[in-house]
Amino acid sequence: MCKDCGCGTDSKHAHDHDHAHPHDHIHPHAHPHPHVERKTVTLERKVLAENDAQAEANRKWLSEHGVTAINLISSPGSGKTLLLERTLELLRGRVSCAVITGDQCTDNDARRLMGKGAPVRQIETVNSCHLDAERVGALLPEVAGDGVKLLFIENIGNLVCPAAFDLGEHFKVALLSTTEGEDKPVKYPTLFSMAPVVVLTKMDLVPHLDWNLSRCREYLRQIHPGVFVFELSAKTGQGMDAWIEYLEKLAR
Amino acid sequence: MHEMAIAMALIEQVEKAAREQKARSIAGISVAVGRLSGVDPDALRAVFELASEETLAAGAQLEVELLEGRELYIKSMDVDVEEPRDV
Repeated sequence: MCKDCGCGTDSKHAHDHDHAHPHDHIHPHAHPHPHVERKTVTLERKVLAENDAQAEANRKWLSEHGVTAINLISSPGSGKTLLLERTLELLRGRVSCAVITGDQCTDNDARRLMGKGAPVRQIETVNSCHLDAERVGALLPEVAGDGVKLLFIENIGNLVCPAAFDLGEHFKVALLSTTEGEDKPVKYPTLFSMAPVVVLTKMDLVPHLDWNLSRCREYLRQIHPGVFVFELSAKTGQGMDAWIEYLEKLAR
Repeated sequence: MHEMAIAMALIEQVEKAAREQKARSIAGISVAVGRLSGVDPDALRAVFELASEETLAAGAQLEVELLEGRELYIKSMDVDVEEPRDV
């Protein structure tokens, strides 16, 4: 049956009403009579299937090359770059690291991270709020090919969008700075439910803030029971030992 | 606002499937969006209209089913297929 007039395949119009003209006309012409049929197609496909396929390819590449990849996600200004700076300095000569860092604009972060013994590549996303698997995958051979054990992917500062895009990392690490307040995990549950590791940064500022550690940990547990939490200050070095020890174990 | 990237990925998928069906247009798309998917259904609807311009999905009705988890998938689509017949 066609959707335009409801006529059946026998070309007789199916509607039923009174009027004078003969109703069961036949088409006295040879040209094709276009019928438009509406049909439902079942897809059951992931919207981000292409990104996911590329992410799987990245993960395979990383595993084949013995690289553990960590996707660092947080709000802008929570201290991802400073943590990475200190981390690269402390791991220098002990674990071979590499960094892919993303920002909307500028290569400021890459310049901060250079000269610490690890290859660094910057992705400028311009109008995009997240990194995707394709852009990361394109950089893997040049940045993580040469005996690298740990790859840090510093995502765009944003708690929402980067969580939706698998980059092929082995896991996500969420950073939460004390100045952001304790309740970010319950406000942004997507990221905090996905990240098995959370790093609480800027712990040196706690004495100056109305920030409560046990409340923050409680919010984290609500969203992600069993989450592994580091408390540190990259600036003072407080708590960095445990973080570095953890990363060294990952790289083995 | 990554919903634009999501909408574009969505349209790419349905256009590909529609071409396989030899459809002339897509009349409706049904998607499932989980609360923890990181995608805002209203934002997705808003950008979908823009992103679908001049594609096979232009003017298509986007139906969003809300789920609880991280789901983000296309359930089905309605396509208009032209079937020329000699009558």
